[in-house]
Parts: sequence; structure tokens; C-alpha cells
Amino acid sequence: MILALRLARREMRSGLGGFRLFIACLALGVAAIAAILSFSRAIEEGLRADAREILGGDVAISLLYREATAEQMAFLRERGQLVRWIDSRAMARPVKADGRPTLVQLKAVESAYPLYGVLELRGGGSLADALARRDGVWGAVVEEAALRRMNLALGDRLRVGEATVEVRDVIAREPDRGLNAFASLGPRLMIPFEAVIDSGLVQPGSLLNWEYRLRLAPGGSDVATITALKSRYPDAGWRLRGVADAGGGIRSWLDRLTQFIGLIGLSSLLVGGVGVGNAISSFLAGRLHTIATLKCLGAPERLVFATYFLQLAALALLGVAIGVAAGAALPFVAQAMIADLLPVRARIALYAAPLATAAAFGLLVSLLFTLVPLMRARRVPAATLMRGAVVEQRGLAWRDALVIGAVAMALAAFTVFTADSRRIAARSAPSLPFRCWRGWSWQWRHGPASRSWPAFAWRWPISIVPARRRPSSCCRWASASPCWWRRH
Amino acid sequence: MTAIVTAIVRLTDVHLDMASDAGTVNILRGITLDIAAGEIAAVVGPSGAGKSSLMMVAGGLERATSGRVEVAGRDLGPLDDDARARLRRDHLGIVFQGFHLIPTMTAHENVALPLEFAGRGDAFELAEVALQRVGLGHRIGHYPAQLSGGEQQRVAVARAFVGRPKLLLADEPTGNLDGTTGKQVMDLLFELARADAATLILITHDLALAGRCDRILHIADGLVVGDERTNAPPGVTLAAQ
Ligand SMILES: Nc1ncnc2c1ncn2[C@@H]1O[C@H](COP(=O)(O)OP(=O)(O)OP(=O)(O)O)[C@@H](O)[C@H]1O
Ligand SMILES: [Mg+2]
Repeated sequence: MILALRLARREMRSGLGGFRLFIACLALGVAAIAAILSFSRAIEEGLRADAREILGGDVAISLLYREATAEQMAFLRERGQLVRWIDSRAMARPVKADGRPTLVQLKAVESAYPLYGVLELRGGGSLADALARRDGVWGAVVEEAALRRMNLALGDRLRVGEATVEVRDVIAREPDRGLNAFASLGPRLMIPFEAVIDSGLVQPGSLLNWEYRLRLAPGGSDVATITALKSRYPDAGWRLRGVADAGGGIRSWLDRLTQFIGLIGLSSLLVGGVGVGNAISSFLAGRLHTIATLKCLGAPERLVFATYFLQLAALALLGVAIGVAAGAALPFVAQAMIADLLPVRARIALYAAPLATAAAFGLLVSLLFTLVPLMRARRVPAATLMRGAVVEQRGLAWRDALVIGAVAMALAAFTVFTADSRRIAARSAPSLPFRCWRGWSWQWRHGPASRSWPAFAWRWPISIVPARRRPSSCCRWASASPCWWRRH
Repeated sequence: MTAIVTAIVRLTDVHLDMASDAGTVNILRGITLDIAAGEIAAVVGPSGAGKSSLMMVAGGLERATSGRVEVAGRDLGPLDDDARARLRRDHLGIVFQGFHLIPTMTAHENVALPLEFAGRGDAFELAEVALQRVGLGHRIGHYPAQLSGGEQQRVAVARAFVGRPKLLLADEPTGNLDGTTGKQVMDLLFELARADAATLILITHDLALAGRCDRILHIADGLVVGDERTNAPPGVTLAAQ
């Protein structure tokens, strides 16, 4: 082994040469996987840490188009502090002539809102101040986008139903915004609960979502409360969520995103692996002469194998290391750009597990694709020195085939059991061979032009991701807001 | 001189067939010969006669299709590739027409290889001595690309001799070299073989060179067609002639 290491080091003197592609493929795939797993983990951590903020309380009670009864309210109030709000789409009409009426996502909150976290305003003031009634007019705060769409400035007034409100500040952060950023059609308009009563929007049969949040008295349990609510009001028709359910919609959105990008990463690793296999084959073809010479001088097959295995392992480690480093750094870089788009405060940090997972993927894939050419190289006959080009390619021994099969199985098993890709992998693994084959056959059907490496490298991974898991379906799904609402 | 001369290479009815597009080629067609330890034998014959093939078979680089091949007392038939490699490592030195040095290794490392394979801790000291013996003590750190053809072949000779093998196979070692350089390399080869009392099988087209050997084997069309002994006593090199 030490001798193999020495020989490998000497052989490496010829430089990286044709291995730039090998390293690039590997680094790219590993980086994609490492980045998305780290990112997903950061959001997961954010969800866990801010669960109460995201939920808006310890227990969330949602009613569609219907108010809770006075008796139900009383039952809830016995258990802790209660806050309620109305969530609805509504038309906001600026009072001034050059304003544009716009569909907004209205949220009419009681003064105790929010129970957890802080609603931050651009101006720095408190929400209660901003919404307070001044000179007979209720206040309102809006998302930045609302100002632009309605052509409004702070201080302008607008009408929602029968009520008139004055826009006093811009929302910087809404703690329980959750997926609304994705799910709502219009920008947020927040007004006091009392203003909605004035507006005449609240009538029997109006399409309002009633939201109730409970902050439990110390020692109260959300699970126990939900159980109590269910048994007391089995037919209430409300949707109950506890702390553990916080960010459910976000989670499934995140799952899909993670699965999609993870699968792209893994696929590009596999595609890269095919390229890697080719790169290695041609590298070893250039080494046939050296290998034959080594054997002629008395090197056993084992030594030849170990020598080139170590060389390729070093290159693979380099590629994986670059990939892991890039993948670990990417969420930090991306954070600055997408923090505002994110439904939660992502806890971006260096998480070992996602990085290790990505590295393991990279190593397994490179192992899979280096073994075949290595096993061939090991068996290059010493007679190659004389016979030169006439040398016949000996096939793989069944034992070698078995080893390769085992590595492939390990990779498949690892894919299936990696936490973040478990569901999708289990669902898509059975058809993966078919989709790989389809990708390949696509490549062949489309002639030499489309066989160019970049085109192929891009399309093949996409083609093996099931259509319903591509991002368009993610977006479609996220924008159909009632869907996520009803999912639980 | 003892009367009992042990054969270091013994071929008995050796055939070598090879498949090619034009059908099976019978390259060796029943070769039987003994080479005694310490003997210096030349193999001559027309191009395509099978001389190199004979050497490949004797060196365990190629498997005979039939017949028995014994080298250093071992029957090569049942040995697998690794065992043959080990046999070469321990008992054989081979010099080719194309020098077959490893381009990523220095002269020093190239020469040390067979000893490294054998796990010798003194591989590099011995390699340096071997390079000094071939007059390249001052070029040990050079890569093959930095050496002339003659120097490369001298490195290859040093590599073949470094493990003090019992048997040396040389296939037209001067074929790629000019006359003067070729003569230097040949002189070196004879001198080293004599000094180490090694057996040398030398394939050559050069009849004058063949005349410097103890014995001349004529090969034609895959068969031994002549086996003459020169008047030199066996085991004694004729380098001085
Ligand atoms: N792999 C092969 N397949 C088929 N025929 C082969 C193969 N290798 C060599 N031969 C044939 O075997 C015969 C002997 O080849 P060999 O190289 O042993 O000849 P040689 O005596 O060394 O010739 P030269 O003096 O030109 O080096 C030749 O006719 C050659 O064409
Ligand atoms: Mg020849």
C-alpha cells in the first residue's frame, strides 16, 4: 500500500491533465447537493426555533367563512390569551384620484396581535400606534409592494369596503407571514379588527377566513388543548394546529424544493460520473504502456490497481472537497439575496450532516464510475508492450462485476435512506433505470448535435426528474393557496 | 567446468497460436530448446520468424498455446499472471528495443522499481550503484524525456540488471540506436552479464554481434532451424574479441 502510494505520487507528476472535467463534474454535483441540503436544514432549524412565531401562537384555530361561536371563544379564553384576526382577499381603493385599486391580502388584527414575535415596521414605531384611530380614521400598514401597485404614499387613505383607513407605515417583517408570500395573490394590507367591523365586510356568508391564536397559560400543552377542543367540539369544522405543525406548508414546499434540487444534483453527479468514466478510461488508455511495463517488471495486479485507485481517489477527494466547500458557502452567499423571499428566518450555519451526505454521494458516485476502468486497467496484460494496439480488451471478471453491483446498490440504498430524499427516492427509484434509459435514448435519437456534452449534461438530469416534481409544479402548487391550507 | 549444466530456460514443443482477422496464425510451431545457466545465446532469423514471440513466451509475458515452458526450474503453465510477474521480478531482467521506461519517473526511480516491487529497503542505493555501473551516475534525477536514446537504453539495462537476475532477455536492444551507441550498450550488456554470471538471450539481426555469443539459435517460421555453438567456451563472454 505504501508502495502504491509512492507510485501514485510519481504518476501524479503528469499533472491534472484530462481530469479537470472529472473534478468539475464532481465538485458541481456535490456542491449542488451540499448547498440544498444545508439550506434546507437551515430552514428546518429556523422553523423549529421560530415555530411559535410562525404559527402565531401555541395553538392555531382556523375557520373558513365562519366565525367561532361566543361559547367556543369563551372555551378558548379559559385556556390562555386569545387573539383573532380575519384574513381575506379584498379590493383596496385609494381615495386619491391617481391611485390604482388593487387586490390585497387583507389581515384585520386585534390589538393583542402578535402573540409571539414582533411585527416590525419600517418607521420603527409600534403596530398598535400605527393602527390606532386618529381623527376618526383607522390606521393601516402595508407591504412595500402595495404602495407601488396602488401608487400610494404614506399618509394616503384608502377604502376597504365601507371603511376608510390611512396608510401609516410599511411592514418590514410579519412574524407569521409563513407561505403567504408565495400563496397570496396580493400584497399584505393590515388594518385593525375594529376597522373591518366598520367596513361592512363582515356579513353572514362573506368569504372570510377567521383565524384564532391561543397563547397558553404557563404549563399548558398545545397537544392537550387540541385534544380537548376536538372532543368538546367534534363538529366544529375548524382546522387545529399545534407547535409541531408550524410551517407545515413551508415544510412541504421545502421538501419539494430540496428533492428537486437534490435530484438534479445527484443526476448531474451520475451524468458527470459517466463523463468521469470516460475521462478515466482515456486516461488509463494513455497509461496502458506504463501498466504493462510495471507488470513486466514484476508488479502484481493488486499493486497496479492500488496505484491508480489512489490517484483517482486523490482527485475524487479534491473534487468532493471543492464541492463541499462551495456547497457550504453557497447558503451564506444566497442568504443575503433571498432572505426577504424566505418565509422563515433561515438559521444558516455549517451543518455537518448535509455536508457529509453530499460528500458521501460524491465519493460513492466516483467509486462507481472509476471501478470499471480500474478493473480493466488492472488486467492489462504485460504483453501489451509487444503487441501494442492489438491487445484485446478482456471482459470483467464476475467477481469484479459483483463488486460494482454492490457499490451501485450501496449508492441506491444511500439515496433512498438519506433523510431528505427518502420520500422522493423511494417513489422514483423503481422507475429510475427507465428514466436513465429514456435520457440516454433521447440523446441518441437527437443525433450528434444534441449529443454535445453541455446539452446532454443539462437535459439528462432534468429528463430523469419526474415531470410533476419539476419547479413549475412546485410553483403551481404553492400559488394555489387554498390547497396548502387544506392539506392538513 | 562441471559436466552438469542446469537449464535455466527449457522449452518443450512450444506452440503459440494467435487469432487474427485472417484466421489463426501459428507463430511458434513446436519449439524445443534448452538454455544453460550462464550461457549467452543469440537468437537470429528473418523478420516475422517469431523471435520476439519466443522471448515473450520465455519471459512469461505470453502464454504458450501448448507445450511446456520452464524458467529457473519453474513450470510456467500453472502459474497465474501475478505468479509470473513475481517470477520475473525475482529472476528476470528484460531489455526491449523500445526502452519502455516510465515517463513520469526519474532514471533513479525507474531503475529502483523491480527492487521496490520485491520490497527491498535498499532499492534506491542499489539503483544508484546500477546507474553508476552503466555510466549514468550523474543523471539519476533525470526523466526519460531528458535523456538521449542511448542513455535511456542504458537506464533500461541498469533496470534489468539491478536485481541481479539469473536470466536476461534482450530483444534487439540496439535496434533504435546508432552504431557507436549501439556498440557501447552491447559491450555493457555483455560485460554485466559476465560479471553477474547471468544467462543472456539476445535477439539480434546483427550477425557480427551474434558471433560474440556462445551459441546462435536460428529461428525461421516459428521453428528452430539451426543451433550452432561458436568456438567460445560456454559461460565465457566474448566481449573481448
Ligand atoms: N497479436 C498477433 N496476432 C496475430 N499475429 C501476430 C500477433 N503478433 C505477432 N504476430 C505475428 O507473429 C509473427 C512473429 O512475430 P514476432 O514479433 O515474434 O517476429 P520477430 O521474429 O520478432 O520479427 P522481427 O525481427 O521483425 O522483430 C509475425 O508474423 C507477426 O505478424
Ligand atoms: Mg521482434
